[in-house]
Amino acid sequence: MANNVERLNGIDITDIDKVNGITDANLQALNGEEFTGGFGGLTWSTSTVANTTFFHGLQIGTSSAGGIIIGDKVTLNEWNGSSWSTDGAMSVRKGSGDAGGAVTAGVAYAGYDGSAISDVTEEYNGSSWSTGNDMVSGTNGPSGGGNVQTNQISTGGSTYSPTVRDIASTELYDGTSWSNASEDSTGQNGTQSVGTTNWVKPAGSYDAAGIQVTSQFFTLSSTTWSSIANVSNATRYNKCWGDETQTFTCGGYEKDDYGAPVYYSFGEFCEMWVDDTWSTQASLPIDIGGHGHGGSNGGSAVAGGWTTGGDSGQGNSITHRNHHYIAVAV
Amino acid sequence: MLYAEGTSTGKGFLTHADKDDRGVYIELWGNIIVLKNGAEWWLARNGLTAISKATAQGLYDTFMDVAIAAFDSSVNKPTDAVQIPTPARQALP
Repeated sequence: MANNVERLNGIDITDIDKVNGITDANLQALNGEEFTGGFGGLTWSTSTVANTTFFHGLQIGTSSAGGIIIGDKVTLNEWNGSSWSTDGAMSVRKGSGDAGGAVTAGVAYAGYDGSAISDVTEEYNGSSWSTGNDMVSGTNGPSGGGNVQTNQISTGGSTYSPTVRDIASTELYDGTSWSNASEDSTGQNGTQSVGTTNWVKPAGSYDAAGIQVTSQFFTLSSTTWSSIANVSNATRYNKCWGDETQTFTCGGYEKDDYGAPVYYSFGEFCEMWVDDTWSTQASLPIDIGGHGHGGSNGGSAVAGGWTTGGDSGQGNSITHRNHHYIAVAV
Repeated sequence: MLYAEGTSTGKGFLTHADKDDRGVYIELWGNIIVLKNGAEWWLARNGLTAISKATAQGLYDTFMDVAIAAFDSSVNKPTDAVQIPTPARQALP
């Protein structure tokens, strides 16, 4: 993209952070002239299919070096930018748990271990998993994640022995220990929290009330949640990535209240959050839901975006997938 | 294969060095630790005692019976594509 704007009202363009409240990294053009660092949107590239079909997974790393653990398994399926392989196995399953960080420094936690909700944390160093300190309290289906191993958040989800739904307490991981935040979230399940030091949590679902559009922002310095603009498409089991200044959410359930025999369907919509505004972005090539827990992707902006596995279809016509799509900046 | 009653105690319970340098490989099955690549020294470091497979299976079955009785099947809604599996007894490896 050419950079045609050099100065604005006498100010060097490189010294301008925002124009009318929009950060320069997200300005595409000014009066038709292209702007330095403009975001021109994204497109989806079809990559090598994963080594298995699956629904749900715990995702770490980036689109060029990442991995995903199938929810009811322990083995990491690793993507090195050109091929898939199986790598280190965790000690305990974390079905519908969460994950984050890089493929050389990742972390996975919460979920269902086959007999109960797990509070076990495990850290990945690029070759093997080791145990970290336990969570304060694990949940199934939390809306957590984080771009780095040493900053993770977990909130939402449910337990069922006894049954407690839409758990709003918020836990933070600093690479060593988990602690409770001072403020609870809205408790929505099944989405992800995206960020490096702060987090954006788009949409999600309540167990009884279903998918929502309400979204939140978590500030680490005060450990508090605040409301942000609603997404256009209510969803859960969506795929999120980016950081706390530019957050993406794609796909997931687009409806979950049809009634028998078709209770739900998956969507292909994609939205981007910048300066508290959600904008529509290029849709996924297919409708997908349940394509990976963990809001990290270990990277930020468009280049961090990738999705593999998940389901397409609706009601009883569900297809488990091994697709692999990567978001590319236009 | 070695068996012990216990669960993860957090950081340092199983280290990267245990796995990468010493080949320790464990699985956590409810209240039972299964050492697929067994090491008595690893059990001793964590204050664990090896038990027979039959004893481990009995302890695991009892643990799972409690989990099965406590499980609330109403958490599985027909609107969920993926159902949370009901706890069930399995044969230890």
